[in-house]
Amino acid sequence: MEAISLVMIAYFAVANSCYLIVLICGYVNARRQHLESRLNFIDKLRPMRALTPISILVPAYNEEKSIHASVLSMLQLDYPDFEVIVVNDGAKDDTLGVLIRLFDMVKTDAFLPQILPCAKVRAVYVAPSRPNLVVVDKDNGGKADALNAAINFSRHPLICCVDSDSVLDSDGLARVTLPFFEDPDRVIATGGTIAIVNGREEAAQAGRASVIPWRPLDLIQAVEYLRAFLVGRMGWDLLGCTTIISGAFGVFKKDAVIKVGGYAKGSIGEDMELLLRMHAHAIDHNEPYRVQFLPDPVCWTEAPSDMGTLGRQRSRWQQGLCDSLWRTRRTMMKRGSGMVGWVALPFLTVFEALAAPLEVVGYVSIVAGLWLGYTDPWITGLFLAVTLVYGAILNLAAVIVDQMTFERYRAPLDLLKLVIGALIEQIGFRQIHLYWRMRGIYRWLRGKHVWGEMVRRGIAMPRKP
Amino acid sequence: MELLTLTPRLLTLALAVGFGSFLTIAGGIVVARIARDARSRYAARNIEADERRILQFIQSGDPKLAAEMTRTVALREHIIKVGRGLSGDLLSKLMILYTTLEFTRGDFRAMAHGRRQTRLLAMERCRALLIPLPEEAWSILLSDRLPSARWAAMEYLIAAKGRAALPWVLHYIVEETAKRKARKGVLVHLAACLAQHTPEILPHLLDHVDRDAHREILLLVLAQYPSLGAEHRIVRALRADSSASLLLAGVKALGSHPSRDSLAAIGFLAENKIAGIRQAVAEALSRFGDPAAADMLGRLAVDSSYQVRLAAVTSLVELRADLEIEVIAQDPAHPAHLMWRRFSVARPQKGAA
Repeated sequence: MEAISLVMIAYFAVANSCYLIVLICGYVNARRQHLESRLNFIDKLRPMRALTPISILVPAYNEEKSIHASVLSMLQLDYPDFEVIVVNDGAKDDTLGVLIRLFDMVKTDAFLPQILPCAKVRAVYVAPSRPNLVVVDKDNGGKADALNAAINFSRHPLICCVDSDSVLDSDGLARVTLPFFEDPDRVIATGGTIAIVNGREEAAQAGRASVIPWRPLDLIQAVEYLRAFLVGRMGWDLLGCTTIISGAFGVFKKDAVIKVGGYAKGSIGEDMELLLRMHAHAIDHNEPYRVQFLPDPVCWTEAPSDMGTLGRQRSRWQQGLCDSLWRTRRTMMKRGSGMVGWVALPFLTVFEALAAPLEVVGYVSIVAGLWLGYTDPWITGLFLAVTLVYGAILNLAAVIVDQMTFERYRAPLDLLKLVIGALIEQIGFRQIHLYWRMRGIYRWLRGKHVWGEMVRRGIAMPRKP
Repeated sequence: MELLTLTPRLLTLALAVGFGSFLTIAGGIVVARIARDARSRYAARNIEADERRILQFIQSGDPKLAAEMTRTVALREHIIKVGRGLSGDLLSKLMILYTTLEFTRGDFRAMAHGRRQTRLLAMERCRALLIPLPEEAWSILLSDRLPSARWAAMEYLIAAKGRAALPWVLHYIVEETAKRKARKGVLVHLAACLAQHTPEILPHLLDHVDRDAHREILLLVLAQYPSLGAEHRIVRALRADSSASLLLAGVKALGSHPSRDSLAAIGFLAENKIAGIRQAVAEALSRFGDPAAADMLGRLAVDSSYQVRLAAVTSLVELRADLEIEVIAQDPAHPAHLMWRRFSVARPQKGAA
């Protein structure tokens, strides 16, 4: 029992040290990128029409509540040359009807070339008044399948995958494609930050400065998104180890995606899986490449607001993580695989994929130790308290990095809410999250591909913070 | 054993330190935010009146107005914000105001002695108003370790010096292309900025550079900014053993200089074994009004590569080459027939899901 305790303490120490290193790297990178974002390259490049044309791909499944706002915001993006391809992935609700009615779309007999495999396409719709909008109606085949269909129909050399429940900042697209302009030979993928839209519209309507709602789930997710999606990814980016570009907002070089066979059908974490395969392909073929994460372009998304939806999302993320790591296991610690193969993938395996089972072992050993009298309840309680407090400090550190750079939250009340969120995320939520992650692992082991229904309230156009 | 007896004390200490740190950090974050907000509000206390005075100054140039303004960070940022939307004489007046308020002196000091962030933000402010910098400042800014900072500084230098920036740009391009991770897009952008001031110089440079990387940059800029009579020099820059990326840039440049000579050179490249080059040829041919271009596109429409066929059909549609399109439209077995259907949206049915 003592050996298990020592292993758990060592694991806790190493994991937290690693997270601290990533956090410090995140801070350094965030400072640098914040400075770069203030050099206003976009304003200089826009009149020269120098930015690469791009196809925005929007897979939609049962998104009738949010699809209109989302597509409308995409059509209003400040970008010189782009098209929006919405794929209705066999939705059971009126997603297609909403699109046809509100954008006055007409059916065409346009041809869909089969570059990448996808489910049967039923029809293609175009909007005579909006020549850069296309809707592809197809049989249900999952998100990866819908994205492959959209790639088949895209005309431009860059593709941007955006969730249909998300809204981009008006100049977000220009910012996220800047690395492709700077370094067109090497950059194969870029990703922007995902921010939570929950509460912003209500706050704007009420004239409140504070945008985070008082709901515990919103508080917790606001902190989580800052820690994981902003600072965490910035840290990995500095180390050259970006292994995930969120499916909600990522830009890829189309040729590079087609070269690896597009999105893997049936994959649960299709965003991570694709990027890992692109890494593996470039490493195998010894091709120089770059993947970049940018903190400045923001994609606003609606975070789940009930436990059921959140649980399904988190189980799916864990399942996707395990699935992606398994599929690209050959790249791990492979000769010549660099930081991705030697640092990022082992870290993800040990401290992300295996963290949940190890945490369960830790909790079980504590309970067993207490039951059998091997463990001192006082020491156990203290150890747990220290773990939780340091976890909360890591959360706060992410808030500090945000305040020193991009200042996503500016109202003092929001910061107070983030502090509360940082604490309650560690007490209670972490343990529930553990259950969801274990469920994801179980499903992955059983080979169950469950996407799970996402309940949406529908988002309105956010204002810039 | 000693460690085990120490453990409760260590854990208690760690908990106390951790909890104390948490409360301190949490309080610090909130208090710092409140203080920052208060400072911003104080700095912006007279900003509305100053905004009016800025607009009056731009119209009248009356120096008394500058004396009435409250010299704060908020005012400085506001002047920069206004300056980003102006050009020509109005921008010059704003620059005078900025200098009269002694913001320029502060920026020069920051560029000379400040840390990187302070230095670059000072440069960015001066760049927004196109304030001429002393020569020493350029040396400091162009030797920054951050590639984006060097890019911004060089772009600023070209905007400030115009054609006199040529030696600096050439030096910069040579230095950067020698690096292992040279960013081609940045170099193309800077050469394009220079081309806006001196469009005639680029074709001449094409004759005098000997590295493919440099030629490629010049060709990409010529594709964006055509220069009269440059096609001979473009053709001379391309050789049979040139790299694929150079040939690709050459095709784009020739596409921007449509003439009989360009068409002949492009025709030669239409049979290149690399599909990407044939695709670029098909795209470039859409700019040639010559019937020979349509003929060439008709041949590319039966290419083995899907992307080349699609580009050829797109160009044929853009050229309105009815004869070639008719051949594709009439024959369902034609390799480009399905691609042509992509453009046949002439009789849409009213959609109903």
